[in-house]
Amino acid sequence: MKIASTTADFESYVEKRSDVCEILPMMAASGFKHIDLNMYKAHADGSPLREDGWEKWVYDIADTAARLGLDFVQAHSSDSVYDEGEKKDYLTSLIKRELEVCRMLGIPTMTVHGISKKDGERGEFMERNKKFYLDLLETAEKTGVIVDTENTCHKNAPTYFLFEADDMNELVEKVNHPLFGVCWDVGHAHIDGIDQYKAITKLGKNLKAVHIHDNFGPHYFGADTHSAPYSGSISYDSIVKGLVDVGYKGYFTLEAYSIPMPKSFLGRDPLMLDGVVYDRLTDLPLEFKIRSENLMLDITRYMLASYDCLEN
Amino acid sequence: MKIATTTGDFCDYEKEYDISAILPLMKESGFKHVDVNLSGAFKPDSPLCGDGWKSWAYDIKNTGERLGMDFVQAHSSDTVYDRGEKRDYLTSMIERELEVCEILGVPGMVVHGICKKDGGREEFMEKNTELYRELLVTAEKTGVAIHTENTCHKNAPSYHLFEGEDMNELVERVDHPLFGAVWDIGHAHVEGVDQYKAIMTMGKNLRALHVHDNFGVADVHIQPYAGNLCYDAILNGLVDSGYKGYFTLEAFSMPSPQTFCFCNRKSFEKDGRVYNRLGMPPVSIKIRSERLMHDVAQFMLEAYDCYEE
Repeated sequence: MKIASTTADFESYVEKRSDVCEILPMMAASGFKHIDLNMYKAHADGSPLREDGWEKWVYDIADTAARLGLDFVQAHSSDSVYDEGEKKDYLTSLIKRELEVCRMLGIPTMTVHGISKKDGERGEFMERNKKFYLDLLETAEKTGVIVDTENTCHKNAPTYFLFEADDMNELVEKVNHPLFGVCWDVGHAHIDGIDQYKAITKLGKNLKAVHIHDNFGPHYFGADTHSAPYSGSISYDSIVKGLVDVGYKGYFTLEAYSIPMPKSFLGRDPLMLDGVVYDRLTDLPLEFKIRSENLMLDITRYMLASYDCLEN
Repeated sequence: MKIATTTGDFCDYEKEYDISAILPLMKESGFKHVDVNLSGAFKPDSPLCGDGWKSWAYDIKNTGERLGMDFVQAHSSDTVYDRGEKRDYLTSMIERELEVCEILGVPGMVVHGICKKDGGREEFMEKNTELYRELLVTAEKTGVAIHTENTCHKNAPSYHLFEGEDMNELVERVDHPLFGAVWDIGHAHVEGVDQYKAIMTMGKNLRALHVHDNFGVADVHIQPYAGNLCYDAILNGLVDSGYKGYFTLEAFSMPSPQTFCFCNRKSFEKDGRVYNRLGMPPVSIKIRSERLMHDVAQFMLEAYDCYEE
């Protein structure tokens, strides 16, 4: 199994999240070779994916990766919305464009969150998402890119009814398309107290991608902190053993914040004192982040090597 | 300001009391100044419970000298609220720990106060004034200072030391030159305390620190920058108040210990077989992680021109 990490790891070290060409050398310096392209904010103001000429943005990324010897192996889309209408159409069209980005970069699989509404019901959720994903899969067929739906936890989204493996399998069966599968987020599952081995083995061939990160689970904190592996209480034996036993063919993809946890994520306030702002310590210099990422990579290598499934 | 860390950092790699084995790991991680963790000293397998405890302490002292490390802080075991045989025994252990500090040259030891469920604040203050004065008799003999520690309501709602003012009140009640405060910035963060104000309020009463991080919700003792604690408030406060103690980490760099109560990272059982290959990564990983934590702490102090080796 090969290890990947997300471009989001360094988003707080560049001016704009979309500065992927600047992020890639940082990931290379950290030791990563396989990249998960984060397009989660592709819909935000200033995103190059909203503009004409977005193809140049993609080609620049491809050139930079090729120069650095990196490859793109996974992606994360932006979100759509539940209600039908102009906004939904626009956001869905962006996700279709992101599938095209994946095709151009050689990315085989992209995670796309499902859509949910507050106080929605499970049956309606399944039907609405089946329709949503089938719409996207028309573009997936043209691009050859697999679309993965992702599990959540009750604390994050109580009416996003994809918590257990059975939920994921049900949606996969409803959609019933060879380019539709599952991304299993081990951190979300941990917050819901799910038996990870059982879930992974149930998902079996439906499992196309993983998101690896840590937290303190349901008992002590119950929040989705996306901490680095071994910064929380996840038991990795059940996960890696599960992946090995089901013959998982995807990447072991980190979606975790090594230190420093970005201040834009959970906040790290400066001190205001007598009208002066002190913010010398709200973030760490890049050299620390690279060391921290490299350490996270090596911990992950140890995890896979312990089960004789590490590939470079 | 000098950086220290606790021997507890390597508690899942060596036996808790085998401090002579832990010290080389700390040294390799870049630490020179050591906080001696004696929190489990009363447990039956602890060398502090046996006749050879002085020899144990001298072995540690010798190892520290050989490695060029010094002992700058300690953490005691706990005692209990109600008087009686158990309380006498546990108090005698803390007195022994003060003697260990004397042997090692540790200038000050953190000793938690005592509390009881649903206990009131005034009673808490009185009982702790009594406890600490009792311990200070041995502190005078050994020359080792005692530091009381703040907590957060989530950890112990009837342990009435939450704010800088609470710490000052107890220090004033005890009224002894060898008695002061250790400020646990992680506990204060869970409590939502204004750290700059608290540190300034304590002023000269502040003798030691416990530096660790969390998300402001639970006391998970993670390393700096793994949570969202504001360090500018801390450093400005320490500089502005003229703090003279160590910048002492009490934080779990990754991996956090498998045995830590908030972690309890379980092994996996299948078909009668136990899989525990991933409970704790090898010590080489831990040493790199500790070194990173040390260097981050150094960056923090250098950013405020107060780093000392």
